[in-house]
Amino acid sequence: MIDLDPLFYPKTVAVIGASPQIVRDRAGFFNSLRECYTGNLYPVNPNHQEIHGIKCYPSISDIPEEIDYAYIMLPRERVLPVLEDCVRAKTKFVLVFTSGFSELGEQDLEKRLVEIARRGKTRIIGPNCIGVHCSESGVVYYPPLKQAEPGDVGYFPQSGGHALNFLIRGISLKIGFNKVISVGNQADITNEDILEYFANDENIKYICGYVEDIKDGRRFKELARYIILEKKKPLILWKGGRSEEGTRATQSHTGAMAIPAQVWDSIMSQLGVINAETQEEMGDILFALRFGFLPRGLRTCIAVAGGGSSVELTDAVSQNGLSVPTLSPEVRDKIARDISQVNTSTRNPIDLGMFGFDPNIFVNAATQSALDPNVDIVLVCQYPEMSRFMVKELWDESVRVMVKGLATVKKPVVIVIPRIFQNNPELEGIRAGFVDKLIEGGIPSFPSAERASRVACKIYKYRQFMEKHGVSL
Amino acid sequence: MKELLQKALKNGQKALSEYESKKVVASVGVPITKEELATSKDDAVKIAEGIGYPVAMKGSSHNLTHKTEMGMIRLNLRTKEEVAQAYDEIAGAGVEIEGVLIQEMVKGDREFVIGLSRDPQFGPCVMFGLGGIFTEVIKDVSFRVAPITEIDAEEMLEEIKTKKLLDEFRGQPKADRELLKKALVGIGNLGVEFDEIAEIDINPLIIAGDKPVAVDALVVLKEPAQ
Repeated sequence: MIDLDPLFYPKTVAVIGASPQIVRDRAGFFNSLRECYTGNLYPVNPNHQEIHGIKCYPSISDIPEEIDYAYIMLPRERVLPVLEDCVRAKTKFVLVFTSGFSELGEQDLEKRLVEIARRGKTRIIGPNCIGVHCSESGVVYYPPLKQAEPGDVGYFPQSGGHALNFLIRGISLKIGFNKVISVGNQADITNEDILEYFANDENIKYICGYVEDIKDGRRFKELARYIILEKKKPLILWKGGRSEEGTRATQSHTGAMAIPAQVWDSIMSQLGVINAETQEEMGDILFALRFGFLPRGLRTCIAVAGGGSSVELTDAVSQNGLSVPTLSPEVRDKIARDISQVNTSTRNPIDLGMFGFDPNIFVNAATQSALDPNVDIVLVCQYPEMSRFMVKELWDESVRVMVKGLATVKKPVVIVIPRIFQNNPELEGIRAGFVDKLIEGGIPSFPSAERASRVACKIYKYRQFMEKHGVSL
Repeated sequence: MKELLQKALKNGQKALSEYESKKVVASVGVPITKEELATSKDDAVKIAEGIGYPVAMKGSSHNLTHKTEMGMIRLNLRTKEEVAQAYDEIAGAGVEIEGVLIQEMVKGDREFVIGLSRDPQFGPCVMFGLGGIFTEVIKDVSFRVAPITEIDAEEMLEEIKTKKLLDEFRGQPKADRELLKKALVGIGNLGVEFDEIAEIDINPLIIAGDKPVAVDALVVLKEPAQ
């Protein structure tokens, strides 16, 4: 296993090509490091004596210390000689941010990068990526993305864009990222190297990644087994390029049918990897897993105010892999007690009628239905926008009652909060406040029943895999 | 096995004949049709009598990968006269063949496919699914990376949309799942053990009664090293 500690917790960092201004598309990493990095930071640029008050060096070999992590932020034609400097200066890890290598067909140029690195002990991240984001050491992409706590998620996206997008999405869902690394073209350090390191990092409990290609399939398989079955860390992967057919030279019908996306899906099933088909889905799954949302089955009880909504939700979950069984008579009675017989139903879906806006009745429906042995998942639905219209003064108290009550539900519970009002700032704020309180209370929420259902199905499949292999969750 | 494959490669072959391919898959537990290769008309009749009518006859050659289109197949032959005539027709069609394969006719409504391909990232992959002439149109298949276990094989059977065909169907008993799983595991092992094999097609795999039987098989060899 490659020791990536000096990469994520470097004592010394150099930014080669640092500049007082952020030029064109060059990311302002030097400024991010200036603000957040707690170790020794060295800008390198022969055109400057100092940048923003920090002493600047003409070349990496002029720096009085050996560098753990160096960023090469230079145009492609200057990368190779600078890389040679880094190798001679015994730099441990070099990020080649620059693009224009194998992703543009320049395989040979990329090979030369590795040849240069092999003259010494330097390892290359990239090229064509943005490297490390680790809040703990302050090596961050941008200061607003630095999190106060170290977090428990390890994320390895092949794309720099997806590194940022998903990081932002995750942070907004209060997910703590322990380490993020964008590996780009994987000329030297590969996805598998990262997987191995994350597998053995005791602070990382969940691993997710955006993958376009796997360099060493066999090693990947072994690592997936190790991570999922031995270290018992869920591994969620989002595969890019699913729509590509891929060119395959084939003589058989089998070969013609082995479409890369289908083969990938099959292998992920085989390994127990949670297979996210979109970025949104990867976020949803990670979000739910961290609340301990691990359904033992797919039989779902639905509770909401309104018959139309109850039918809508039933359709949505049924079309996305969940079933909606009839509740037992005892449970139905317990729920029916609080509500009038008119305009309600307790069969499952539970239509609470106007009583659905009463938080105590709402919570009771959830807690009672969880006691039914035929129920695996409790899926409830609220419309904060409507509640606000009807019982504005009571909303905050309603939230308190709902969050406290839903946390006592004895089966996996999820709340769907559809967005009816599109684009209204005040209502978005109310919604966000509600979701925050739910997160504090440990309850996963989703904007649609479809999303909630897909997450439930994929996590259930993961659970089944684990149990089939003798691991109880 | 290794010698057979190596010899074929040295011979410049792109694939094995159906006869040889069937031997290869039979060696790992795939049940195949009763069959023999005839190199003369008398031979053909003798073999047919031995197998029992009705029989099928196919021109055999490692170059023939799509026999139907070339008029190399005769089915449902019930008498020595029909066998003799079919032999003449196949042998005289102007297609270069190594012999004529005489095989039992297998009856069954349910056809499946078992295959092997090599994924550039993950190596040998086993495929299972709905077979027959509509295979590539319906594309109801599942994959697993080899080597596979019986659990993997069971999952493959469960994953296809038409899995109910493995249960009782139109008065036919449910298919022998144990045999199917063993066959899938075996094909996976072939892919792992012999990198001379690039791809395998077993289609159709007919369920006769409850027993899966490979009625056709094709082993594609790897491209020669440049």
